[in-house]
Amino acid sequence: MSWNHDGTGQPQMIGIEYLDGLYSYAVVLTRNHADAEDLVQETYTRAIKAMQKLRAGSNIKGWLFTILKNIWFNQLRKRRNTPQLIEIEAGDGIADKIVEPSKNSHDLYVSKLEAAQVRAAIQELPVEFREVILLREYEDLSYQEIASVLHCPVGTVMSRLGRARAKLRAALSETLKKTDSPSVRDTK
Amino acid sequence: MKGCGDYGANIELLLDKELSGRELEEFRVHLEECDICRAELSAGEELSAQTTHCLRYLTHGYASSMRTLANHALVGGEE
Repeated sequence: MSWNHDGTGQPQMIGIEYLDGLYSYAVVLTRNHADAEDLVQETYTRAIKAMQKLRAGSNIKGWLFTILKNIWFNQLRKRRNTPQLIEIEAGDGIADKIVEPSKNSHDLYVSKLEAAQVRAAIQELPVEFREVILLREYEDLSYQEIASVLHCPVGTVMSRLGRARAKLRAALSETLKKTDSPSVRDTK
Repeated sequence: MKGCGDYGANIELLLDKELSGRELEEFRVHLEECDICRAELSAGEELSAQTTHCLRYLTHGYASSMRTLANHALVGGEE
């Protein structure tokens, strides 16, 4: 799939395929489903208005992510307070969907636990680390593209990624130690 | 990632597909000989896979419903 605007087709339809990714990015930034939806909607509204001015060959994906990040950043500045951090509820079934049906009950329990642990570790990262993790691991953007979205040097992207991964590894090694405790291992 | 010290930084660059050309070839040769870097790379790949897996489920059906709404808004209800 090409990210670039080839100058053909209806401009209004371009970019819909990035809704998934934009929403994921918005959730990582806001940590709130309702705010994330509003953020994506605002992003798309602004993009539609500006899309006619895009030149052929423009990087649509990077452009949309940059719009979203700028809107969120401006909202933060206007609020002047630390955003409410509302946990995404465990009842949304995310951990359940990662389970493989062929596993026995103990393996199912461990799979759910590990998925929940990774998710919790990601959510506990500072926002600038969550951002780079999502843009690299899920959106598969290059360092240069991430730097463009975040308006920072490539070196900063590399540094944040390294530190984010180190934090995740440290957080997960602690929780995996607890998972490996006899009380969990023996739950069969 | 630390690796063996000589090529530690290259582990992340390889994971993120940022190595190319001669640097990539040299590091691949080094990996064949270095257990430490291979182990670090393997750990990094596993963490990356776990992270991607969890991030994938953040959207859980959001995009398909939004595409339907967007299509209706943009093309006047025609699909």
